[in-house]
Amino acid sequence: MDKTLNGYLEKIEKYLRPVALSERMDILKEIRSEMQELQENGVSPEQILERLGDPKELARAYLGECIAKDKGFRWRKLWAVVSFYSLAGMAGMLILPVTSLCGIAFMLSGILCPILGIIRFAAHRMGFEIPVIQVTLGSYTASAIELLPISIVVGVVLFVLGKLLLDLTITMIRAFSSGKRNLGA
Amino acid sequence: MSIEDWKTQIKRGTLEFCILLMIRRQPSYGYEIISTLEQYPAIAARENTIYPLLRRLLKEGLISSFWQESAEGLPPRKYYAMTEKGLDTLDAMSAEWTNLLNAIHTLKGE
Repeated sequence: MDKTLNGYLEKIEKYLRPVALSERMDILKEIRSEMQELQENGVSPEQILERLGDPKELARAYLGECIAKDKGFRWRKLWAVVSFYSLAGMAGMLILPVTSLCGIAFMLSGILCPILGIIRFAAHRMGFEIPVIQVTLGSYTASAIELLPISIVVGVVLFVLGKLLLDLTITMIRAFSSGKRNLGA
Repeated sequence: MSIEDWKTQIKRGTLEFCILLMIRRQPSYGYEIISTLEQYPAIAARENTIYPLLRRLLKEGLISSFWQESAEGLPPRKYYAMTEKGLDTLDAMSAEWTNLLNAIHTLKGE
């Protein structure tokens, strides 16, 4: 197969690294199949590449569908999100990293917060204090017993906020990937 | 609103419907679908729209896929075929499409 065509496929493969191996191979096989068919029809490699368009844009469209379809949270998906906005240009470079990273940070904090509250509470029951874990609001400082419900409530609020931000990110990715740029004839 | 934006929105809203209609007629492969769409400027779309869209329809279970050897000298092709779920969805889409056409027909006063 033509060197420039192989180069194109290699780029797509690189950009799609967050996609599961079997799926990535299937995507590449399908694109290669079309390339070979066009070649058989006498279309030149240059015309084929022009037809397929910027490899970044094609890869981004695939990543967008993969991310938007996958509802759960997995590290692979986070990786796909990061790869996606590295391909999504300026708007993606600025907004998506902020919303997705804040979302993840909020969710992690939301999990961590009640755990710390429980640790402080458990320690208090066993007769010693861990003053490092503390809630202070102006002159008010929560006791170890008060800290437990506060930390749980704060944790839930943070987690929900984080989840909302992550969902927002996914909605935006969806909008980007089905942008009208892709629909040009 | 520019007429081009409006056309793009129509295309975006109807592309899945058109692709499902095409696959229901007979199992088709990606390039075949794109070539057929190219004959109609109103719904023509490029590889970077159609391939990811097919993959989404596949994941949603509306279509299935299988690789099949083709004629001598040509590479195997990935064919897409309808599923039961896809047929149900297509029926619902067709019904809605008729509703839309009726509404427009009435509004135009024909």
